[in-house]
Amino acid sequence: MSRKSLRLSRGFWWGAALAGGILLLGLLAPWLAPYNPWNVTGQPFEPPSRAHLLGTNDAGQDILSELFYGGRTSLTISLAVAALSMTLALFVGIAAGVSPVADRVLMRIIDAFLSVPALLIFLLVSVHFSLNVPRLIVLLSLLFWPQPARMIRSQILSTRAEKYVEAARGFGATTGYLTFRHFIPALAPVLLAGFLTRLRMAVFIEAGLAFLGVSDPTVKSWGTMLHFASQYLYLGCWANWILPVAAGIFLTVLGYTLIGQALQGRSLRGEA
Amino acid sequence: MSRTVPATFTGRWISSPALVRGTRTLGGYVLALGGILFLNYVLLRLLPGDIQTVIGAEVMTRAPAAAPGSAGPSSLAAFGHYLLRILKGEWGVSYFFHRPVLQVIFQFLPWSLVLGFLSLAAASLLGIVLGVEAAGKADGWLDRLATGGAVVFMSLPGYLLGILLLVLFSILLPLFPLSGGVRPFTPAWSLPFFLNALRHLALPWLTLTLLMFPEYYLLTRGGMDLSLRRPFILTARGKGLRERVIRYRHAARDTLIPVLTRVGIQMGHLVTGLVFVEVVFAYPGVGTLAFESIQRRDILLMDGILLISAVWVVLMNLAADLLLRRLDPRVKEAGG
Amino acid sequence: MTRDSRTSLLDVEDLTIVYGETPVVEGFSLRIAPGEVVGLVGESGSGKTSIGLGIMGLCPGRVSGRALFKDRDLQRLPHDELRTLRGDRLAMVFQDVAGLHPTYPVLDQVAEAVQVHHGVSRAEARERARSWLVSVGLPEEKAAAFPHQLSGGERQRVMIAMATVNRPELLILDEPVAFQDEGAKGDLIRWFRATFETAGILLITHDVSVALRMADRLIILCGGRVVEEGETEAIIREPVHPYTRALLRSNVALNPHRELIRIPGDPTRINQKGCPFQPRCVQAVPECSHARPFLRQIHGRRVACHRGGVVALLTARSVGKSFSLKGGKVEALREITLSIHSGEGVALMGPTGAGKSTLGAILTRLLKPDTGEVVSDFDDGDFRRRVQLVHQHPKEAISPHFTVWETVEEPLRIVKASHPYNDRIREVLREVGLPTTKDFLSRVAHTLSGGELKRLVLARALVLDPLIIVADEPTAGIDASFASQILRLLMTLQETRGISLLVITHDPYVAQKVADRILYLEGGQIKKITPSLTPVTHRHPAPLVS
Ligand SMILES: Nc1ncnc2c1ncn2[C@@H]1O[C@H](COP(=O)(O)OP(=O)(O)O)[C@@H](O)[C@H]1O
Ligand code: SF4
Ligand SMILES: [Mg+2]
Repeated sequence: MSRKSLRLSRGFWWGAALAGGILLLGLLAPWLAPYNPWNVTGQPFEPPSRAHLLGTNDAGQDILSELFYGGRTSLTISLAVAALSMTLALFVGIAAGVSPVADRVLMRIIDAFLSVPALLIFLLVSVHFSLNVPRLIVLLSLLFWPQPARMIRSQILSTRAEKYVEAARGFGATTGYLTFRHFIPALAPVLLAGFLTRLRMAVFIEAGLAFLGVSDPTVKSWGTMLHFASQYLYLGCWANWILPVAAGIFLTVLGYTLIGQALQGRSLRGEA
Repeated sequence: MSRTVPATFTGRWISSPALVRGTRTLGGYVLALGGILFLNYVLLRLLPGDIQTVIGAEVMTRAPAAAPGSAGPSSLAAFGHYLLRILKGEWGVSYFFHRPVLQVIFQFLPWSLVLGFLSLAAASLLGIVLGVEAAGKADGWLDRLATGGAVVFMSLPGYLLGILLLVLFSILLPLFPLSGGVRPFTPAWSLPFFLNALRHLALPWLTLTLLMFPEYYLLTRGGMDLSLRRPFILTARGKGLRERVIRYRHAARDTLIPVLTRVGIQMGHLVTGLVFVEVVFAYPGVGTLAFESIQRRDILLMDGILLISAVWVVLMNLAADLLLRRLDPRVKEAGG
Repeated sequence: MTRDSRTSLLDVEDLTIVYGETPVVEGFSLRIAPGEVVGLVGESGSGKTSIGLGIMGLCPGRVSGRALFKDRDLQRLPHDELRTLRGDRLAMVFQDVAGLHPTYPVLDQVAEAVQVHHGVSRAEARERARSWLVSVGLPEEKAAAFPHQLSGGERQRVMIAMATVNRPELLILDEPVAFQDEGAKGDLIRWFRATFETAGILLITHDVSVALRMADRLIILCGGRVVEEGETEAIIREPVHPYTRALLRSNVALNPHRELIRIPGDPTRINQKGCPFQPRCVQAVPECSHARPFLRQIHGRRVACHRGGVVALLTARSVGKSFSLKGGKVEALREITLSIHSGEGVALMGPTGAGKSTLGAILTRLLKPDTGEVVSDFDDGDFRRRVQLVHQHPKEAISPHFTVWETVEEPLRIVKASHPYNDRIREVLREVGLPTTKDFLSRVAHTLSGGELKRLVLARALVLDPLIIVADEPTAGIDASFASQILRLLMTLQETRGISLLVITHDPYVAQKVADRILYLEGGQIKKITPSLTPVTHRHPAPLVS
């Protein structure tokens, strides 16, 4: 057992280091990036050189600088979306878990939301509005809350069925008391898992939308980088253009995944 | 041990009485579908004016009574007419293809369904078998390999994995075609047609399989880890059953219920869940169609796709529920 | 091969089971012959289930030692061979009724056991399973049910059917009737005995009353070690090991009248070096804490105790006593032989004038017998400390001049106990429920109420840490509520201090409440001895199935 928990917590620390490190890089982008990524500082499609460590893109902008700034965008969006959607989910989940009447209504709404093909909505909405960063955050949050809300509700329902809650009721505990003293504390693993999953999904879909060319192409993000790069796949510049972006996305999400796995392992063994 | 299980990172419940109790009812589905239709109707009416005139003219010619954009007291009636038209299958005409929307969709749908079913089947099978075999053998080579693989593929979005595989197998090692569903001008339904289609299918299929298997693997393994510790496993050993039988017939039976439910739910997202991968491989499925319709501002077609996928989602959810009821006797009594 | 292994079905030798670093079973040996039922009895956590699982090769801990089943070493058998034995020739009814698969009908689960071992068709297996389920008492229409549709008792019957459907030669039953009501318990026990007449059965239970009704032999387990082993009858009649006796005394079914006495101390505190029962044993000697006692032949059974089991603290041998009156001699006692064991409750009953008080006085050495002797387990110099008499009339037994303090202090002074007395006096007063204020301590004892005086003499008796208290008519002439207080006090002392009680009383109900044995004295002779341990017998008209 000690060996196993060591292994899991090692995964956790790797994950934390990755996620934290990349967050730091994003925060420090203005100081780390060698150029302003919007400035044309070279010829188009320059291969890596001393001046441009990762070469330049189709517009002659420095890819490394784009990478730093792009990470900033991706991280901002994913953190904001995860926080916003989980907050929404928490309120809805608790309301549904605590009140049977609210539950009926909210579950129907959640079901409706879950049967909406989210991506198509994005595509449709992008026809009406340009998807700039704040709009993207709001829209993603609106589409991301139902699943964790359902999980939160389920957790509350199973907490409600616990004997210790019954006992507290026996002492005359009010719903408010139960919510704060029993329901919410039991939610910690669900909230954490939900938050990490939303982070991961937000990074994916933000980049994905930009990749499809649906979101604002003037914003520097990993997705827009992929979008332009993939149009020149045949040129052979994927090694210095696509791979770094891929690595950025991969390592960021790997960090979240490792943390999530470590925590899940813990809770499966009843330690969390 | 209590059956309450913490949420997994993949964001599902392994199996909890609450989930079982929360089984949706038929009424819920109808409601959900109604909601989607309404949303659809409203979105259509929110279109910027210039586009609306284009479609409006179109719609007007087909069903003058249901003129869109007419606000006020007639709105409700307009929605009613809209519903009626939808039910009658009059979904309008594609602005780009100059053919009825449904006809266009049904031309693209089979490609998506074949790709989706094949990869979902492979992914769930792979995930389940790996999960059943690796469970309870922490630190074994299989567990390490499968868990490692799962973590890696969970951390890659579909388009990225698609691009990487493209670079690897189509550019560096030109084994598979770069894009498309079948070489143009291959006579349909002939043997070369199928072989060529399969060659085109290979990379998107591999991408989707790799992408989807981690969820099934982690879900199965997590459930199996718990299941193997439950008292009925001891009983099964006491009967003298083989280890394989114990794993697959006894431990997995309970574990697979949420896994299979999940397959059903994911089946619902097959129509549009493939957009990224289809676009990367320029695969002629509904995903690509949806993407391109947006770019062409082919709103009625887009709208039709949205509706089709919503109906499909609801149907598949219903199927998943029915499956769950069949598999788990405890739900029959609990469900409403 | 071991000695006459031909006649034994199961031969377990030196089985040791370790979970992590903790050994939970050590040096366990067991033999079961065909047709024999052996009861394995102990508190929960004593390792019974682990032993059963260990024999089956299903124990999650590390198992060492040997378990021969018909001369085949189960521990070393290839996995597949062991598997084919399991559930067929060798089967276990597991304790946990949650052991049924939630999503298969119970019929299929029983049929599965038939199918693995016999190459019969599914339909045939089901047919056998169905009739077998009916024969263990599950209503036929419930055979197709899912486990969650059955009651705990019904589920247990399914578990039983599953393990027994192939008619194993060796059956391990782990708490097989725990979820049954009293009537069903009896039915099932009879069913087991009748159906498995020629099989060997290892019956695992914490409930002595179940073992009593089913087992030929008992093995008493304490902290994973065997402490006593012998014929069921003999053990129930006269438990030798202190732990066995404690087990019996805490069992409701065995003690319908006597006050239950829990086993004192914490059952999870097990001495790993010495006797496992040592931390809770009232007669432990220093040796017990560091040396492991081994099983020895005592009283026709095997007992592991450094002191040879429950020791006799006080023994009267052929005691006789006469008083000379004017008219001649009155023979008050004749040929009395009896022992008082450590921690035991003995009631001395009889009509007035039967010689009860005389015997009490002789046992406390206040009176010398004419013939015979009274021997004790302790030094003669210690006798006065260890044996205390509590008089029937407290007022007569306390000097009218003494204060409360002086009354309790007197014994300490007399035996020249080491100072300070203060703490000990206060402690015993608290123990009997009297106040310890300065005021109270300085009151003249005779000004106390009757109830307080009774407690005071008890406190005085306790201050020297006695091992035996002889209470003469402790409840005579007092009202019921007060009598119950005094009785409870005595029982508590017995439970917490492990004191032996000799209660002299003419009240049969009091005797039944406090005593392990009741001696009837009449005309100076012991007429009969009845153990209070009277197992309730159940007669229920309907047999399970004809
Ligand atoms: N799988 C296990 N892992 C660790 N300790 C265990 C396990 N099973 C039982 N134990 C411990 O072993 C001891 C004996 O348990 P058990 O054999 O179940 O006793 P019984 O059946 O007499 O109640 C207990 O202290 C229990 O806590
Ligand atoms: S006397 Fe010693 S050996 Fe005997 S039971 Fe008590 S502690 Fe164990
Ligand atoms: Mg047990």
